[in-house]
Amino acid sequence: MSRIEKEMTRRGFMRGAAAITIVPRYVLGGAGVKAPSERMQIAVVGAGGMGYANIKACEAEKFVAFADVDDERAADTYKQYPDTPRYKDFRKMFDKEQKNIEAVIVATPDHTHYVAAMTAVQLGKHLYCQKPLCHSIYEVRKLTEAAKAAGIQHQMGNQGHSDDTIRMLCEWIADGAIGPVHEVHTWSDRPVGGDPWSDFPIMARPKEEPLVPATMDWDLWLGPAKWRPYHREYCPQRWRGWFDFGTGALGDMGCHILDPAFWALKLGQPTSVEATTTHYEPVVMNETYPRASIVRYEFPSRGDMPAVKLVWYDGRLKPAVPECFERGRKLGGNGALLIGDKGVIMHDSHGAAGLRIVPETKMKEYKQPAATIPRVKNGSAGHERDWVRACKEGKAASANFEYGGPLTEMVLLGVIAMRVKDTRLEWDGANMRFTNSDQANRFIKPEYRDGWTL
Amino acid sequence: MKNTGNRITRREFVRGAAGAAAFTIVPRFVLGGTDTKPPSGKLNIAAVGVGGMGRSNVDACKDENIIALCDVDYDKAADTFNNYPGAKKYKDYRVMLEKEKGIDAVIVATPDHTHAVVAMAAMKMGKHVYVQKPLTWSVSEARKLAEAAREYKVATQMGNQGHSSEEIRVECELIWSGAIGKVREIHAWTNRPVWPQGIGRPAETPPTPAGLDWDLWLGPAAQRPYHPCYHPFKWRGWLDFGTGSLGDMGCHIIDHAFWAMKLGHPTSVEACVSTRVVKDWEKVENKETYPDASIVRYEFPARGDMPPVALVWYDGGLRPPRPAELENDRKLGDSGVIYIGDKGTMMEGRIIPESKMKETNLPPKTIPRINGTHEQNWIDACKGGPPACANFDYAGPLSEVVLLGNFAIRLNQKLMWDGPNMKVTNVPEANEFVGRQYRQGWVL
Repeated sequence: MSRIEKEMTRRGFMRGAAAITIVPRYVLGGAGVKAPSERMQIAVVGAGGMGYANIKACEAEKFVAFADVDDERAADTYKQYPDTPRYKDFRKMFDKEQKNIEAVIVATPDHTHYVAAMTAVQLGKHLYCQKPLCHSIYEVRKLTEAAKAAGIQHQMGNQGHSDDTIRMLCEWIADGAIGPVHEVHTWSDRPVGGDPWSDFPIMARPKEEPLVPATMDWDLWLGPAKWRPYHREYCPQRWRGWFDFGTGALGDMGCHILDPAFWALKLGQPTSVEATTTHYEPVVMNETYPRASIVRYEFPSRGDMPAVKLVWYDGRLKPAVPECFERGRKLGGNGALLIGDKGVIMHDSHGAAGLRIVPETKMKEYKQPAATIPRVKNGSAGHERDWVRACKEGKAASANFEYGGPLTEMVLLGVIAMRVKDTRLEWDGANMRFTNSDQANRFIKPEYRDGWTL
Repeated sequence: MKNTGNRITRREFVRGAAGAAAFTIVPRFVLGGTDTKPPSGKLNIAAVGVGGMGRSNVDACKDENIIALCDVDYDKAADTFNNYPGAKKYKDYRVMLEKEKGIDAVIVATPDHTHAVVAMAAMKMGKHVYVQKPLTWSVSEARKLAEAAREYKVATQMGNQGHSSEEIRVECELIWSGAIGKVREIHAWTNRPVWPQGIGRPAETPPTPAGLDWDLWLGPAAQRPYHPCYHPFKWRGWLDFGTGSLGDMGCHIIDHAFWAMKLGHPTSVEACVSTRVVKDWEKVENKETYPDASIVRYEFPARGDMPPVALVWYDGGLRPPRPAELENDRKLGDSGVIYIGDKGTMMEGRIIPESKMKETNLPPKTIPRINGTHEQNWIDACKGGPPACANFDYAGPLSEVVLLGNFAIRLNQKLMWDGPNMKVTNVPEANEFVGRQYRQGWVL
């Protein structure tokens, strides 16, 4: 038994929860949801890449089935779990193995999160889904609602949300450490995909049609997306940059970097979003995200918090260095600045890593408030285990979809704004529509290929 | 040209007294005061760099005597040469200036990195100069050219032709009349670059085309092999030759704000750039070309009764936030300037929304208007008229502001600028970019 397993067992015993997690399963969830076994029986869709990291974090549990469209990509996982049944098609996996599956990890490219995750939800399986939760806002909202109705436990893979630092940020803001916050700047050095073109404009689909690798089922990789010939420009690595599959730099990093402000400032739905991008004509070049972009969100006042303007920069663009910065202090590769009436807080990506009040003299003077928000064991490193805990205890995980869904919606709103660039889009969050742009409304709900249902 | 006779006389005397170049248009002031331009009143104009922009500058001066044309690339200049069969042809401007004693005025339309040496040589010989924008490649060259123009008392004009327009004058008068109140924030942008940037130096060394003197094209820049990625046209993107999007378009676009807001020296400049990633996960510092896109942030101190103002520049397709007052169906253009005042907002020289512009009475026209082209405005100045509107006393400081942005683009951090002493005060190594190390054999 590993140390973690021992710890889990001991904890479960001491709480007297062990009995609950095994016997009266139906008490914990909605109809049909079973509480998991002591070693939770997990299936993974997208078992290579990020999925492998999620598996490692859950290695105290039992892996009962893997699905990956590419044997080569999943090779490390398969080597480590030679006896676990493998499937290329997650639908077949669920067909055959659903009796053995208690929980599912989805770590596919963005465009197939929803179909895999929704299948899991409909079967009443607990769910850990990578960030961003889905590829489109419609999918996010539908999955969030379905997960809630199903009574399962769910967690989005923005592991920084389990970090102590994001909780400290919330406590500092609530404590008035920098006064009311009216302006937030966030940035990322993504995209980091190598540029295969030496000249611009780029963004054309590759013309060659190389053979699909023998280890791969390309049709399944495409999933609900429109069919196109295989090319290594899409997978395994670069799908993030293509409209049909990824959600760009913002989709990749936004769920980490916007997370602290979204929580600490209780942002919710913005009223407007506007983006500008580098050379790029979305109507003509309807394929990839731009090299760099700036997205500007406006949030209304919330309770006693004032309205907020939040700006996202990517492609290595950054906000201006605030006046209060000491000489030599720089903005890192990824991070955020919260500008309050009485001061500035800066932090890095993944939770509010490295958070400081700037300048350092103010940080030193600050008397930090008591830790009132419960901490997650092992912080961001314990994010997957926090989900396992949630499944076993029946108490929500830190980045459950009721939080992760709206956070992802905010991120995806920016992605839509890039496609309708230099336009101020007015957003009616409750009704999930833009009130001033039919063009933008077309991107809320995707069109699925025949054979796939939304 | 109207009633300039007296001024010509006075000016020519002053010039003569200063011991500058000998008169080349002797009978002109004898005939002064008439409205017709006598044949003998024509200027003898030479032009350096006539294959591209220079061609249209020369064409705009075709009523004068185009006596000599100079270009390092005879093939590229062939059309212009053919159009002016009477003009002598040269490859080397130094030889041309030496041989053609009759030149009164010189048009300089070479790539940015050779503006300064050509213009300075001409001014030192007492020639009037029309120099394409940006005035120079570096800040210190711009300052030296402006000083030389004063010293040699020649008529000067930078080729930012929009400065001669009616629109920019109305814009200034509106702002000076208080139409939008005090301005603390300005946004300016361009869709440039429309040429490759963010790339590395090519490895191939193709043969130099027969008509091109590559060494002369390089001028004071460090030696490197010829490649078509530099000449023609695409030099703008290369650090050693061009000044990027900002240098190309800043002298047009920031011109508006520089004049209307009486900007002068900024106190600081800061940039962020979008660099290209050439390999997955590998960020490569590009020391060869300007970036694909950049944002440059300037801060200017209070000027007279105008409060401190921040100016933000965007290029590479990036645009500023849409002003709240802008009509929903109106787009931000390919380039423009937005002034955010405490009583209103202006974009592209007009108050927005347009309904508010229509309600506004235009203030009196206090700024003199330009008749004819920007080049004609310079010709008039050469002939003794008032200084041309974008003379170097104006264009030098404007170019300095623009070129300072390129410092910040190279250094990617906030630079505090001591304008009068031409020094970055907080990052000593930045001062390396104030001027330029010339190749041996070249001096300013």
